[in-house]
Amino acid sequence: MLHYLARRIVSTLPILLGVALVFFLVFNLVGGSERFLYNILPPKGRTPETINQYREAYGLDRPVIVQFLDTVGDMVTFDFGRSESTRQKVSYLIARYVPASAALAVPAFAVEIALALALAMLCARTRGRWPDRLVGVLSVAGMSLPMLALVIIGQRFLAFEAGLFPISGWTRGLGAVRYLALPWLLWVTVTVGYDVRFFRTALVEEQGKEYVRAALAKGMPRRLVMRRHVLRNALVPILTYVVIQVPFLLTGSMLLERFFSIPGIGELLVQAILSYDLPVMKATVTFYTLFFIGFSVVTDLLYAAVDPRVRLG
Amino acid sequence: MTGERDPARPPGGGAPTGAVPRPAAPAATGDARRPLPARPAGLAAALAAEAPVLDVRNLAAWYFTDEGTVKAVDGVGFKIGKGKTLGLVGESGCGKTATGLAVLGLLPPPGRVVRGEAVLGRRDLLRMPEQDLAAMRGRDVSMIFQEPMSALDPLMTTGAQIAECLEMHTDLDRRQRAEKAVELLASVGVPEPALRAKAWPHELSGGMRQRVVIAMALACDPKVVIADEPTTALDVTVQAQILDLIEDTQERTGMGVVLVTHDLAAVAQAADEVAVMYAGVLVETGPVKDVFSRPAHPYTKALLGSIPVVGQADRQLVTIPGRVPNLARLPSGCRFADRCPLAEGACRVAEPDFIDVGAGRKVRCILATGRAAR
Ligand SMILES: Nc1ncnc2c1ncn2[C@@H]1O[C@H](COP(=O)(O)OP(=O)(O)OP(=O)(O)O)[C@@H](O)[C@H]1O
Ligand code: SF4
Ligand SMILES: [Mg+2]
Repeated sequence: MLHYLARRIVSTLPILLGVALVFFLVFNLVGGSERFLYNILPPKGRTPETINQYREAYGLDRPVIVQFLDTVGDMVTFDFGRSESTRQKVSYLIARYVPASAALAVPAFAVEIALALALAMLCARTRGRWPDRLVGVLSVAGMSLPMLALVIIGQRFLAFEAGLFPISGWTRGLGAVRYLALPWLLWVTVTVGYDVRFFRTALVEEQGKEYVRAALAKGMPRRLVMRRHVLRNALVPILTYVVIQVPFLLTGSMLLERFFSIPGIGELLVQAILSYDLPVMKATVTFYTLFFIGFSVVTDLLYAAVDPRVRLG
Repeated sequence: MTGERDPARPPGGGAPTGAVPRPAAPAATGDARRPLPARPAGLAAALAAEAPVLDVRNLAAWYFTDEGTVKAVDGVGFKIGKGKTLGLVGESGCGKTATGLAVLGLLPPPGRVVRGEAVLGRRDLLRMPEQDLAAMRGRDVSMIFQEPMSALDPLMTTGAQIAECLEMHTDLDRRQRAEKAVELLASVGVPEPALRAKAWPHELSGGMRQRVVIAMALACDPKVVIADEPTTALDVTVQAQILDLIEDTQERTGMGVVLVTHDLAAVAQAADEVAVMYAGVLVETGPVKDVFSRPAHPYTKALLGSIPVVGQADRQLVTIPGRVPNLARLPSGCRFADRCPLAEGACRVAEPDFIDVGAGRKVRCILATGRAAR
């Protein structure tokens, strides 16, 4: 298992290198070119001198290879200097904005997956009968609601008119739950339908396998077979699906952070883009990348824990 | 098995012979004996000894699909005596697996048992609450599945899968179950059983896996086991070993076996009785030796290669595409009429009855049983 972990981590190195390359292309070669800077800088500062100063400040005038190695170094040490607008250290900013993002995303994602699994198990057990059909109809209904429309409806009717939730805002500590409740609710409503449908398919597919019949033929009760055999086997496609969801998780939380004024990483990135705060942009994007890679490594470890064939292969 | 001659059996060509007289002595198995009639004491004891362990009567199991009702099993009956083997043969798709699944209450939706009984130990498996049936599965009746590759959960060690059966039906604790699983593996001829118990299914060869599947099915000494093509996926030498293994267990425990197979040679070797299935119904049953030496139904004859039929092979049955009638749209008369070289007008009028022709044999063909019998 440790061996597998080591191999898996080593295998992410080329990915990291590739990311660094894209990074370098976007931020240094394109983003650092005089032409680009001329367009992006505020009209007042658009003199050749300020542009040169800028390029010097960010080392964009150095040889390409040095710049590239520097980019890799920044990513590895996670040191991107200070924010353009607030002059705070970027790593400090990230550390300050992560908790709110985590507070939004982690519980919502956990509830989403747990609820979807429970509903999908119900569907698979009652396949074709009314609980299955009811959940199926509700899932499609949930899927057909765009997040944006739901945000507006939620803020208008549930928060503003019914006063069930604050419209938006934030506070430190446990009090944040008050502000997070509505975004959590919206998150789960929008996502759970997709999940249920996918999980149900995976479970039903496993249910049709011969080993399930064999387990039943041993005299095991259906519920036990469901938990011990069907669910475990369905976990393999389900994990794959969950990894694929991660980018949506990031964009989704960005959207919700924006609408509900939650000071999270998504909000930080949006602010950085709006003010062309290069160090913060680099840092947030690097953070996302590392998060995604880390997530897929963890998933692969879960695969290996579930499936003996993965451990050997 | 009765060695009796049946003088009324038609010769090879199957010319109509009229009504068939019943033999003087009733055959041991296979006829339509009523359950629990009043009998003289001595005879009752003798009969009780050979009372069937499983008695399936008039079983029908249909798949209610969107395209129509697939009558996969449409009135099948058979009995298995203690320690006896019934060979169930027929082409692919004729409903053999569906028969087995129906008896165990494991038909997948949209399949459902629509009528019939399957009596085991005086209880009807088909009319039992799911909970009670689950308690009987594995302990009283069990099934060996067609595909050894897919009948094992890939995410569980073989030992653990065998132990699960013991977990359901015995009081053994975890360690004892693990030990018993190793013993069971040894008893089905798996070398280095302690090691193999810890192996994953994908680490074993097909033959080994099928042994594990058998150990799993036989772990709690069931009274009846339905062996659904236990050897089809294996190579010839392994096939023979597996059949021997089932036979050995049978001798030890007196278990009754339904041997579902395409392999007529296997039936000849291992079975006492044979039931030939065609398009959801039985067309001929009887003692293996009699049926194979003097088949009565044209389909049985075709299977045995005594008369030619389109696409016919030798000992192994062969699927003939487009030839087996669609089980959702059966013809009105004899189901075999479209392929039968002897078919005549009367064959298409009504489905022939399954007629007792004596010597423990039954046939579903108007020519073989004679019109008078209908
Ligand atoms: N889940 C299902 N839904 C609808 N029809 C089915 C289903 N499973 C099987 N059938 C149909 O029921 C009929 C009987 O199938 P069954 O599996 O019992 O055949 P079989 O005799 O075991 O064949 P084989 O020798 O290929 O195993 C076939 O025509 C098949 O197409
Ligand atoms: S009843 Fe059926 S099997 Fe018998 S001769 Fe007619 S068509 Fe052939
Ligand atoms: Mg089959």
